[in-house]
Amino acid sequence: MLGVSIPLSQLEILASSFAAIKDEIKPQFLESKDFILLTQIADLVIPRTDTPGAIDAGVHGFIDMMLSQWASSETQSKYLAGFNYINKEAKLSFDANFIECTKGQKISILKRLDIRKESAKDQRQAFFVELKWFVITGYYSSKEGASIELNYDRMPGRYQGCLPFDEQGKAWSS
Amino acid sequence: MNNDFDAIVVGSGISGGWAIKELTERGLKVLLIERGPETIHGEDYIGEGKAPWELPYHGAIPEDTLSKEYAIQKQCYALDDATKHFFVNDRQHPYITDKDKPFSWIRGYQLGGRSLLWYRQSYRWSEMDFTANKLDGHGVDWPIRYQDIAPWYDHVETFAGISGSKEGLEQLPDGQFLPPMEMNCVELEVKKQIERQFPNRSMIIGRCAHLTKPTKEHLELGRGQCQSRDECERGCSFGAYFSTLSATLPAAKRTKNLTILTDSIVHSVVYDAANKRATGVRIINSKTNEHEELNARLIFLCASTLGTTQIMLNSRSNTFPNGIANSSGCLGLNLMDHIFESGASGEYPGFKDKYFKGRRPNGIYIPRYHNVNTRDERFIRGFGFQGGGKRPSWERAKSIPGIGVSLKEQLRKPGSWTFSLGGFGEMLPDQRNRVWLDKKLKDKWGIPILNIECILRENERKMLKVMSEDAKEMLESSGIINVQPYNNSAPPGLAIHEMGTARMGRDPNTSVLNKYNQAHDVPNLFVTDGSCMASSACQNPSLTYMALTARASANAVEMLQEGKL
Repeated sequence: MLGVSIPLSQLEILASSFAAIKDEIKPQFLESKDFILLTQIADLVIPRTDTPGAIDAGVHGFIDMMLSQWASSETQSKYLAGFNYINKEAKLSFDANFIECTKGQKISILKRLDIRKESAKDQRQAFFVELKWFVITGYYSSKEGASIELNYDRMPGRYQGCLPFDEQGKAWSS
Repeated sequence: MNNDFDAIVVGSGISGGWAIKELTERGLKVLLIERGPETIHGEDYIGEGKAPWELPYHGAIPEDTLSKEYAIQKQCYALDDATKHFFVNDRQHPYITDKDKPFSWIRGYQLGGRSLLWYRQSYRWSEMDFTANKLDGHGVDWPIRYQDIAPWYDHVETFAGISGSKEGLEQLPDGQFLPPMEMNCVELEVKKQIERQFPNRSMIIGRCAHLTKPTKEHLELGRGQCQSRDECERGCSFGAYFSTLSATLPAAKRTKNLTILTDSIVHSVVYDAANKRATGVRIINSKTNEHEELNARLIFLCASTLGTTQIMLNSRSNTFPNGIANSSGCLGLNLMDHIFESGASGEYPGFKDKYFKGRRPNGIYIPRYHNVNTRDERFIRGFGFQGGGKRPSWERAKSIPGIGVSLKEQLRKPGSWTFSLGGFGEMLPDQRNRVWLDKKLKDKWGIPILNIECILRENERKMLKVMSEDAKEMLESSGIINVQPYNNSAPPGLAIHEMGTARMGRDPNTSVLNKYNQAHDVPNLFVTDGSCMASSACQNPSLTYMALTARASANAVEMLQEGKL
C-alpha cells in the first residue's frame, strides 16, 4: 500500500472516462447526445475492472450499429423514446439531463429503473432492463467479454462433465 | 436430360439420402431430385466454427427479416443468422391453417434437407410400439413387427454412427452403439435418485447420431470425431454428425450410379393406367419455371411427410382422381407430431466446486415408463423425457438485479447447477388431423398449396398434464429445489416430427402402403419418409425412417430383379 487509499468508485470513474475517450466511435444511428447517454450507461452496467468493460468491448458502438441495421423501426422508436424517458427521470430527480448528473446520481436513477418487466407499469418503465440486457448480451458475445472476461473454447474436442471448478476459475461464455 | 434411370428418388433429407445409398449400392442408376439448391459439404457451412463476435449481428437475424421472411420458421430454436439459408422463406412457401388451429411447419429446402438441421436423437422403436394400434384400436395395425425392422436398425446404426449406452430395456431396445457421451455430476446424481425411488424408470445418456469414435467405414467417407462444439445446425465439416451430406450422399456418389438434379420441384407422379405403374415424375425448374417429365422404373418419394403427401395428392388421373395410390381415401389423413413443451426445471444446490468443459450436443433421456408393464388409467400409450443438467452462464443476468462491478463479478462465475426435463409424447392417429390441397390457391409454380388441420385431443392433453406432474415429482425427489413445472401446450408441428399422412397397413382399404412401403395401388411407387408411419410412438422418429427406407430399398431392388415390378 502507498498510504493513500482511493475508493473503488473513483478508480472506476478514472478507468471508464479513459475508456470513453480512447474508443471514439462515430454513431451510425443515434444523435450524439443519445450516444453519449448510451455510452455512459453501458459503462455503468459493465465497467472496466482488471478486465475490459463494455466500452473496451465497443458495446456502445455495437448497440448503435444494431439499432441502425438490425432493429425494426418500432424498436428504433422504442429506444429513442426510452432514452428520452431516462432523461425525464433524471430531470425529475436532479433537474438535469442524465449525462450531466454525477456518477452517484446516475447510479441511483438506473437502480430505480432496474425493474423487471413483470413488475413494470408500462413499456417505458421496463425500458432500462431491456437496454441493460442489450449491453449484457453485447458484452458477453464480444471478443473481450466472451474470451477475456469469461472463457471461450472454439474447439473443445470432447465433453467432460465433472471437473474441479478451480481448474477453470471462471464461466464459459458459450 | 438423359432419361434412362432405374429409380427416381424425390427429396434428399434423411430418408432420400438412405434411398440413394441403398439403391445405388445395389447397382441401380438413380436420379435424385431436390427442390432446393445444391449445398456443398463444408463450403456452405458459413457459420461453422465462428465465435459470436465473428458473426453478423452476433448471430441475430435482423428483426424485419425475421418477422417478414421467417414468421413460422423463427419458432425453431435452430434458426439464426448462420443457419437461415437452411430454412425456407415462409413468405415464398405458404400453407393454410385455421387461425385457431395453428400448425408449425418447419422446413429446409436444399440438398441435404433437414438432415442438416435435425437434433440427431436416435432411438429404436420396440415391439410395444408396433403392436400399440392393434391392441388399443387407434389407427390401423402396423404391417410389420420389431423383428422385421431390427436387422435394419443394426444396418443403419452401424453406418450412421449412433452414440449410446446399452441398457437392456424392453421398451427401448439397444443397438449398435459407438461409445456413449458423458453425464455430468448432477445428471449422475439425479439418475441415481430417480432409479432408486422409481423402480420402473431409468435415466440414460441420450442416443445420438454423433461419431464419438469413428470406425474405418466412417473415416473412409471422410468423416471424423465429434468436437463437442454443439453448433451442429450450422453444419459440421468434420461430418461428425450424420447427415445426407456427410454420409449417405458421398456413399452413393462413390458408386458412380448417382445423378443429382437440384432446383427441381416435383409437381406430380405420372401414372400409366394401362400398365398400372408409375412411369415417372413431372418437374418444374424452380428458377426458369420450365416443365419436364422424367421417367424411371421405380419411384421413391422421400420429400418429407407433408411434401410427399402434397405431391401424391396433386398426382391426379382418371384412375386416381383424389391423388395417386389413394383408392383408400386415407392419403392426407392421420397427421401426427409429438406432443411436448411440458415438463419441469429447477436448481441443484450442490456440486458448486464442479464444472464441465465442452459443449455436449446431447442430453439425457428417460425412456417411457407409463403403460409399459402396468396400465395407467389416465391415458393410453406414453412419453419419454429429454433434458439435462448444466450451469448457466451470463444468460442468467436476465433475472439478476443490479449493475456495475458486483454484477460483473457475479457473472464471472457460473450460476448454480440447473436441471430440466421436457416430455415428448405419443400422439394418436386420428383421421380428423389431416392435410388437403387448396382448391384455389397455388404457389408461385402453380402447385396447389396445402391446408393443414391438426389439433391436440383428449388423450394428448391428459398426457401433457401428467408429463409436467411427473417431471416435478422426479426432480423434487432427486434433491432439485425451486422446481418450476410448465405445460405450455404448444401447437403441433414444432416438435418437427410430423408423420402419418400416407400410412402403412395390412388392408389396402384403410392404408396407402404395404409392409415394404410400397403403394398398395401402384407396385413401383415407394414412400419411405415420415408419411408412412401408422403411429408415432414417443421416440424421435428419424432412425426408424432410416431403417424403413433401407429395408424398402433392398426389397424394391429384389422385386425389380425378380421382374415383379
